[in-house]
Amino acid sequence: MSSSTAASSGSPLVSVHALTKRFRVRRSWSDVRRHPFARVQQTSVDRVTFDVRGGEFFGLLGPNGAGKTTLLKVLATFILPDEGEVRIDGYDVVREPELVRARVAPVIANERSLYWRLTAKENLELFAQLWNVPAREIPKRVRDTLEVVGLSDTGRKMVGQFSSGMLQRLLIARALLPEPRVLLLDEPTRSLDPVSAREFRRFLREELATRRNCAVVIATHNADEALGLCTRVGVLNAGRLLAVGTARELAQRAGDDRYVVWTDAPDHPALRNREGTSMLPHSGDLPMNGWTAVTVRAAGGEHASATVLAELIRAGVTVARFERASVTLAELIEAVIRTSPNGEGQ
Amino acid sequence: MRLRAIAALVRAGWRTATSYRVRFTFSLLSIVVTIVPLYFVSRALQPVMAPVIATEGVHYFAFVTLGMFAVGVVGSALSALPDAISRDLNSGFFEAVVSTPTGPGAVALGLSGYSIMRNTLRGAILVMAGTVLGINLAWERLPYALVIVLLIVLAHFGIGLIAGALVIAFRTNVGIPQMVLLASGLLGGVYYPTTVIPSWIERVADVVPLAYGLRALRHTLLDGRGFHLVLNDLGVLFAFAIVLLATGSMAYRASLRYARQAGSLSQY
Repeated sequence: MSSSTAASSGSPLVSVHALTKRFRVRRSWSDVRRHPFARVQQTSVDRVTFDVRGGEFFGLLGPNGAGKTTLLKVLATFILPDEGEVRIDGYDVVREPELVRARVAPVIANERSLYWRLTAKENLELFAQLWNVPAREIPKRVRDTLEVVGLSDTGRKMVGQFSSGMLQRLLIARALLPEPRVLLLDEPTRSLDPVSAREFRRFLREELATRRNCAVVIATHNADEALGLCTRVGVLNAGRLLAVGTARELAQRAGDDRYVVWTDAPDHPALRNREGTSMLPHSGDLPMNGWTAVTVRAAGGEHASATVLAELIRAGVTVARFERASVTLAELIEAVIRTSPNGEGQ
Repeated sequence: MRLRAIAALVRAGWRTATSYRVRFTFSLLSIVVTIVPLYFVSRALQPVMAPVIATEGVHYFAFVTLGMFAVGVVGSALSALPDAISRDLNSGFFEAVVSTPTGPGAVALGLSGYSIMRNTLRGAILVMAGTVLGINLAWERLPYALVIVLLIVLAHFGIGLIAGALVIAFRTNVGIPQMVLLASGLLGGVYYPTTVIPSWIERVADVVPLAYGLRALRHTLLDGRGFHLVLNDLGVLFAFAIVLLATGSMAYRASLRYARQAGSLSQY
């Protein structure tokens, strides 16, 4: 399938089907002596299947060692899969790696992967040549990319003199240079300050998704990225993709029966005697003078929550606000892992 | 093969090297300093060495200067790639480069190109400084000499590819560049002609590519012989270059595939 066909037919830009990757486990010398021909393997990615379309942000969530980085490296052709099929813009990562590399850009997280004795412009010019950007387009492409990441005024400053945030932005600029169809990001904002991180996310959304219609796969531990930026997220644990859905869907699954009641009578019997009621931690610090946040459980969706609210009001509890409890990323991941039968994936 | 990509990597190496201005300047000046003691030692040894080197020039100073030039080029062709891969694997730069559509051959040439060119240039400066001190070169044979130097580089770059493949696969070159360089220095005719090598080790000298290249180079540049008079040595050197480049290229590609299978390509 050609690139244009894939894009115009609405086919996914990233298509992963039953991907499995195992690595040999390093054995101790004594073990090798006892069983010289034994082969011990560990499954890092186990029958993972998902698609990502143009303009979509797909977040990979999961604890450390879940297989997120291995998955990204397979997409980037750094690692060959053992089983399954992975296609980027219609091209197979095993049989057509050169064509895949022309379409996918990984953001290599290591800042040392730049030439530190060269300027940002010189680094990007080098990679523009490696990416086979037409020679006459290179000056403009480099200038535009530096401007996009806010490094256009670094002049003759060598990259070795950059701050970690500037280095991170330059790594991102390098990945954007070839105008990729698919961008792979591994914790892209970890070295950025909160304001720069927010700006960067805005850039990703507007520039990559809206204007360039790129597919973006992000491995992240950052709640803002996972819940605010990603169109869909997948939760990985021990190599298995346990759940895929919109962040809202998964967040609801993790905390769908918890609601926060803002009241001036947290000790009211209707609340105190209610099963599953608890005070929110640090509720005294919350910005509502005189009102205390209390969480209550209401299993059964919107109807159940409406019933609980009606009961509280009927019982004379003053309610200033009633809202769904927000879910942290850790709670979301834990809930998905906990509720997946035997950790089985989709 | 992407010439633009190779040139860009070589240029980046050059820019990096020249950004260390003092180090770069002194590395060039040191060549001129090297030639002076070499000149006096050669003059002292001239009466002893003259009959031994009679078939490869007359003056020992010229003989040994070309030997020094060749061994410098060989050392660089052997170790430039494994050293660059080792350094760039550790920094993550290798991962960044192989993530681009630039092919493995262009990456290998680009990463090692600057180092090989720098050492060839340093050797050339050494020979030029030698001409100031009395070496007579057959300048009209310079194009032939350049072809011979290219073949020497290619033959040894093939071994460098094998060493680079070992670094990619196992993170060690198992001492191949050092061993070949040692063998080239002892048996390749750098400091004395291969004719004086004891017969019991002569068989080993037969598989040292530098021996053929250096003999052809001296015949061409010092004796002024044409290609037709060095065809035997040239033919063997050419065969070495073809076989070693083919073997090295296969090993290099196989190592990249192995590293991708094992997941070690992007492990720093």
